[in-house]
Amino acid sequence: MEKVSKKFGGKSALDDVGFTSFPGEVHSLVGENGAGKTTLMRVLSGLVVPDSANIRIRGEETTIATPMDARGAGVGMVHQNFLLIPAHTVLENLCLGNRFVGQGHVLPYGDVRQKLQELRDKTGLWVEEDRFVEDLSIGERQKVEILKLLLREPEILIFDEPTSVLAPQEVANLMSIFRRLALDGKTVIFITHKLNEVIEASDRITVLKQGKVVCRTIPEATDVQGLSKVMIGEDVGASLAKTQAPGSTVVRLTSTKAIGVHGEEKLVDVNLVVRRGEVVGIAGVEGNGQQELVEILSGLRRPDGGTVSLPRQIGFIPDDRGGKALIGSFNISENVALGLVGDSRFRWGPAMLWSKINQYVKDLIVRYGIRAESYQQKVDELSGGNQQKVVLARELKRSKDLLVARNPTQGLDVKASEFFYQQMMELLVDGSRSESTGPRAGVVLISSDLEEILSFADEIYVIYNGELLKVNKADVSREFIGRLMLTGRRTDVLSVKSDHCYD
Amino acid sequence: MFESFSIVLFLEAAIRLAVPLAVVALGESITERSGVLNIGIEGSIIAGALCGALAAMEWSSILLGMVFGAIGGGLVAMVFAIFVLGLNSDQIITGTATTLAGLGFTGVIYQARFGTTGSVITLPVLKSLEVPFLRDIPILGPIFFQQSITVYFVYFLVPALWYFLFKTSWGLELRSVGEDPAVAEEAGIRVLFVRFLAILFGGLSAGLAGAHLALDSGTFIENMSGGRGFIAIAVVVLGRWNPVPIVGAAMFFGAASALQFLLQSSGSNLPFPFFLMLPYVLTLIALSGWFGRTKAPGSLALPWPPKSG
Repeated sequence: MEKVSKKFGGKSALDDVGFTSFPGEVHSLVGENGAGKTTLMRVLSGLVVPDSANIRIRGEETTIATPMDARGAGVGMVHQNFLLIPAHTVLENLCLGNRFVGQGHVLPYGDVRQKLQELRDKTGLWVEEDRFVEDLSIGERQKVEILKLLLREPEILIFDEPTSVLAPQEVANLMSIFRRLALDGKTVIFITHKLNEVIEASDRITVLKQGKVVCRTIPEATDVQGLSKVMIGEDVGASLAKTQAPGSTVVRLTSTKAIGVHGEEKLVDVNLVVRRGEVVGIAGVEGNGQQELVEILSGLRRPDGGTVSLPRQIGFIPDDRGGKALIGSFNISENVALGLVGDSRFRWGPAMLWSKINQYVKDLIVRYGIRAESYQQKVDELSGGNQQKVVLARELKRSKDLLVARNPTQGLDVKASEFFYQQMMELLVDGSRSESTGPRAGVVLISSDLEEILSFADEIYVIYNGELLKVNKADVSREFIGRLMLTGRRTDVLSVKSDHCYD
Repeated sequence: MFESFSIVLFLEAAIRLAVPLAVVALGESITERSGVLNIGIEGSIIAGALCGALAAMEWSSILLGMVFGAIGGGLVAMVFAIFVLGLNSDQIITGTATTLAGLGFTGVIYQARFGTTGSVITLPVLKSLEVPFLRDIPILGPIFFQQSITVYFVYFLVPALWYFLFKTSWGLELRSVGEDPAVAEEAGIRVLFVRFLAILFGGLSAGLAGAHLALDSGTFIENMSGGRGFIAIAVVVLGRWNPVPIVGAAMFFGAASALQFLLQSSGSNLPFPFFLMLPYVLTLIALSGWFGRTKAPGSLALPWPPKSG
């Protein structure tokens, strides 16, 4: 692939990216969230049409506009979310994805079984084909997805963050499958942001950063620290925001645990204290236990171990705003009113005082710059950014004791983000001792945006594999936190090799 | 002698009562396997009964009565399909409306044709077809092989549907659409088209069952479907969406009805509604999951494409 460019809404997702891979190799594509790795591979598999691209497969100029084109060119992708029917058997699922196997309309079970046997001999990949998918572990389901792909006999296999759902031993298993596929002459492209896997499993590495290739290398020439430095970029220096000295404790988590649906540990002995008047920032790569932590902090989930003490009045800004925070078919006023039901200013006995609420909402619309026709517009009809402003406006007002915010400014424009930060800082101020009316609440800011954390947090933690690692004030730097996010290691255990990037 | 005679009679009656239910339930099970819950199937039955009666009277032909009955039921199901698939309207509400409209509309046509007092229609009556040799098997012969043509149709339909569902790619596609339309669509299947055919098949079957009701009794009466559409939906659940158990479940309902007639005539102490109630109690137990895996198709009664909100 050469000169691949793609813009989404004026923002460049891929900027003149070149990418080459050879048969018989495992090629890792690494980068931060939003670096463009997945977009690049979606271009190759026909799911995204690039603004400009020059794609050659096996030396031939190829145009890939649809998933069918990609299939025809021998490209197949295993997606993060599996496309399998749980109530059907493995065999049935395999037949559904490959309707061209066999002839006529009688299911070619015999043929498929034979092909599976051949694949098992060649790659060692095996799932009992008569089991129901719902009885399989996540790792086994992933094998079914891979088998489904292999039955189409592709030459290039793309795996989009395949290890994020797997347990460690399953990861090792997958890596050996990669190796055998490569030995069989296939090209394996592996998208990830877990660097230790990259070093262990790949033949070559390409690093993307903000839509550009910043490094091409081989594992022998680099290591986890070197790669993370390339991924995160240079240390720009950071400073902690100065606020009043913190007050009494509002949240205390002691040895808190969370267990996932498959029995895996999502949170491991988490200890966290949040005091009034401070912002606790939690940085981390998505999928390291943030979801569980947020649910526990907002009172949505009971911990599976340890003790949790939470205050009464909590404002909560979740990640999935459309799904969890708003009712799409309600108008703005009604959605805001959902957060005011306990507020005596807006009700008279059981009756909601709509005129007061509407007046209040009108004021919020102006102050937050929510672009809406009126307070009666349905939330569904607002853009994502404006929906988010509605959530922020509502939740900030509820945060008398605590605000839990997860990626709160994702999708907001600069002006709205600044207004949010300003409002957030207001929460910290003690209203009784100054002209401001702040409630002196605590704030937990969970974000994958390191900049945000560095700018506003008084205390910084990093969440890695379900563990909450405290960052000492002396250690606060972009580089240190970035390494902790990616490797979970505080110190350079190995000496940092100079990161050789080839071209 | 008397004892064995009455048991044969009882079982034979049970089968006769079970057959229309079995036909409706087999059709409905295919519809439900595609992820559509058509509770408007009652409307297809009554339309099938009226169309079947009219056609049989017009041409004095049982065969044409059956054919037109099926077509009538299919047409009603297509109305349901237009709303549910074309307009993506709610399946339960549309189904209820279809049933009520079907019952009302057939009544209107009947009264317009035969007057409000309802002159009695006389139709050619379904005769029992006896299978040579097999009918002579002691006990089993009279029960299974001296029955109406619809019974033999069920004998054919059960293995055919089983083979279709589990051994052909069409069957797999149908089941996939019912379990997860998103996955099916990704595999290149036209979800709405498959659902349309499934609804149509359910309607044709229900219409055929309706025609059987009219031709078996030799007349058409308003509301003669008598809630069989709803019972058939219970039969599908009890039969776990599989052809063989569905026929078993239909037999069970048929036997309960036959027992109720028997007890009424013999003057038993047990109140007969007790036996009427039994099958429904069993359905509730089946739904509670005591019999293991009784899972409905994953996307049953859900709209496609999914409605955002």
